[in-house]
Amino acid sequence: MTLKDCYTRLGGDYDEVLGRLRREQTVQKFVFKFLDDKSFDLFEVSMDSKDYGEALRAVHTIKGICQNLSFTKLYESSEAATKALKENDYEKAAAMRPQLSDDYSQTVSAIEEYKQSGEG
Amino acid sequence: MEKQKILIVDDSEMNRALLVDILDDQYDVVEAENGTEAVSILSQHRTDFSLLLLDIMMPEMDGFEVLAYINKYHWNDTFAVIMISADDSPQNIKRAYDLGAFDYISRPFDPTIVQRRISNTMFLYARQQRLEKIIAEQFSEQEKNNKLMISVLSHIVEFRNGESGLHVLRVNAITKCLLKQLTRKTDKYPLSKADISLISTASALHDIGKISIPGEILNKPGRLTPEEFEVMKTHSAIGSQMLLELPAEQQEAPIVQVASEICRWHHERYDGKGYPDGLQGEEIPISAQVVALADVYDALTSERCYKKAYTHEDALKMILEGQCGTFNPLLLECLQEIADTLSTELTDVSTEQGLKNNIQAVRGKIDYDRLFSYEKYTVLSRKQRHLQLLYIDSLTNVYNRRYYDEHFESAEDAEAVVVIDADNFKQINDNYGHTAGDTVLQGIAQMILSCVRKSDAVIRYGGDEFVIVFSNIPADVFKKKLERIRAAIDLLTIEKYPEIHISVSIGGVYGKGKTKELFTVADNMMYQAKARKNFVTIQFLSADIGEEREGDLL
Repeated sequence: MTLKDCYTRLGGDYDEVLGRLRREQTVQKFVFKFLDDKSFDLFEVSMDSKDYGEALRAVHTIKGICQNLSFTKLYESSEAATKALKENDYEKAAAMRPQLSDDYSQTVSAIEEYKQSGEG
Repeated sequence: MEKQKILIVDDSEMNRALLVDILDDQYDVVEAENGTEAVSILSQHRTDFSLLLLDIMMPEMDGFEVLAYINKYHWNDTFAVIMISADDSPQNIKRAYDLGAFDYISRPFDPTIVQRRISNTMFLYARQQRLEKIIAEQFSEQEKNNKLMISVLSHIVEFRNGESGLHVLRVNAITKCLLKQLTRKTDKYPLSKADISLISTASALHDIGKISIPGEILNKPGRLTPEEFEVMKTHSAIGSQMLLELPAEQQEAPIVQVASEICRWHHERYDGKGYPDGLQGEEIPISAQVVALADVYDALTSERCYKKAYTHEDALKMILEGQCGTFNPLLLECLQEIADTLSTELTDVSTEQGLKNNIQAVRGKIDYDRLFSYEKYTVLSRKQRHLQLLYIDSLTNVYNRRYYDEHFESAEDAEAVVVIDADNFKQINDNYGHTAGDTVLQGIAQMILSCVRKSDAVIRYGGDEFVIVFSNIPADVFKKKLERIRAAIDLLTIEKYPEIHISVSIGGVYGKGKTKELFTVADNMMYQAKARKNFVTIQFLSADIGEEREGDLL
C-alpha cells in the first residue's frame, strides 16, 4: 500500500499535499503524527459534557490539521461542525457527530493500515 | 551568524510541528502551546525574538488577547507578529491587523510561501530597526558634539575672562533649576522640557561678547573707570551681534536664536534699568531673565578674587534687596524655593569637575567682602575706594605688599606659592631709564594676570618681584601654569622698546602649610632658577612635613 493509496482510502488529496510539502517523507511523517493527535477525543468528551467552547476549539484544530494534510473528507465534516458550534447551533453540531466520527475512523484506519503494510 | 529566533504559538502540536519542519533549517524556533505561555516567554526573552507566529483559537489566552497584550506594551516594536489560523474570516483578519499584527498567513501552509513571507517580514523589521539605531546613534553623537562645541566655546570665553570654568556649568545648572521650578509654579510661560534644555544649553554662551573686550579691562583687578565700564557693557550687544552675523540658516537654529536673546539681554533688569536696551518686565525674553538671575546668583555665591562666597541666604537677601537690580518677582520666588535643589546640583557640578579637592581655599577666612567692584553690579562705596587705595599697587594694578602681609602672611592653609623675579631688571632700568622699567613691570604684571585665574592672587611683592598665591589648583596644572607664565613673558615685547627682551626666573612650592614658610621655600626655588635665568624650579611638598620631592620643569 502506498501513501497515495492511503490518501485515496481516507478521502484526501495526495497530489495537493505533495505539491505543497514537496517530499513524500514529510507528508508521511505528519500523516503518522495525526495518529497521536488527541483533538478528536477532546471533541467527543467536550460534546458529551456540553462544553461547547472546548469542543469548538478541538474540532477547529482538527479542521486546521486536515487543511494542512489535505484530508479533504475529514476537513469537510470538521469544517461543518466548526461552523455549527461557532454559530452556537449545538443541536446541529450534535447531529453531525456520527458523520465526523465515521470520517475520523476512516482516516485513522487508513493510516494504520498503511503503517502496518510496511511501506512507511 | 546566529539564527534569528521565531516563537510559534499554537495549541495544536501537529500544526507547530509542521511549521517547525518548514522553518527550523533557517531559524531558531521556540514553541508555546497557548497564549499564556507565549506571554510568559516573551516577558522574559522578548528581545531574543524576531518574529512571532500566532494562532488565534487557543485555550487559556487566545491569539487576540496575546496581540492586545503585545500591542499594549509595545513589544511589537522589536518583533513582527504574523497570525496563522485556520479561521480566515475577513472579520478575524481585520481584527488581527487592528490589534497590530504585521501579516496573516492562512492554512494550508505552503512551505515556500511561509518561508518567503517570514523572511521578507524579518528583513523589513531588521532593516527598520537598524535604521532606527543608526539614527539614534547619529543623533546622540551630534548632541554630544554640540554640547562639546558649546563647552569649548564657553571655555574660551571663560579662559580669557580669567574665571574658573565652573561659572558656565553653574549658570547652566541654576538656569535649569529655575526654569523647572517656574514651569511647576505657573503656565504663564509655555516652556517644554526641550525648551528648558535649549535655554540651559544656550546659557553657556551668555558672555561670548567678552571676547571683544580688551584684556586690560576684562581682567582689571581694580575698579573700572566709567569709560571702561561703558566698554565692558558692550559685551552683551556684541555677543548677540556675533550670533546674528552667522549665515542665515544657522541663525534660524533655535539654539542660536535663544543664545542671541540671552547674550543681548542678560543684563537687562525687570524695572528697565539694565542694559543695553533698557527693556522692561516681560519685554525681556524669559530665557534672558532667568540667565540674568542665574548669573548674578552664581557671581554672589562663588568665590572671586575680590570677595569670598556668600551663602545662599546672604546672596538671596542681597538679590531681594535689589542690590543687583530688579528681577521678575516670580523668578525670585522660584529662587527662594529651589534652595535645596540648588545646593545639591551645584555640588554635583563642582564634583564633576574634580575641583572639590581637600585643599582649602587659601583666603577663605578673610573678610574682604565687596572689596572691589565686579564688572557691573556696584559702584564703589567710599570704603571700598579706600580699600582699593590701600591694597592695590598703583603702578601695576595687582595687589600690593600690604595686602599680602595682612591677608596671607600668617595664613596657615596656603597651598601653592610662587615667587617671580625679573631677570636683569636693573640693566633695563640702567640702560633705558625708569619709565621703561615701569612699563616692563606693568607688562609682566599683566602677563602674569592673564595666565592665572581670578581666584589666584597676584601680588607685587616689591621692586621687580611678584608673588602668586594659588588656591585649589591640581599639581599638574600648577606646573603647566608656571611654565606658561615663563614662556609668555619670554615672548613679551614692549611696544615702545621693541629691543628689550624680558625674562623671569620662577620658583614655586606646592603643598600645604603656612604661607610664610611656603614663601621661604618658593623664594629659595626662585634663587635656584635664577642661576639659569628664564627658568622654573618647583618643589613639591608631600603631605607629611619633611618629606620633599624636588622637580623642575625643563
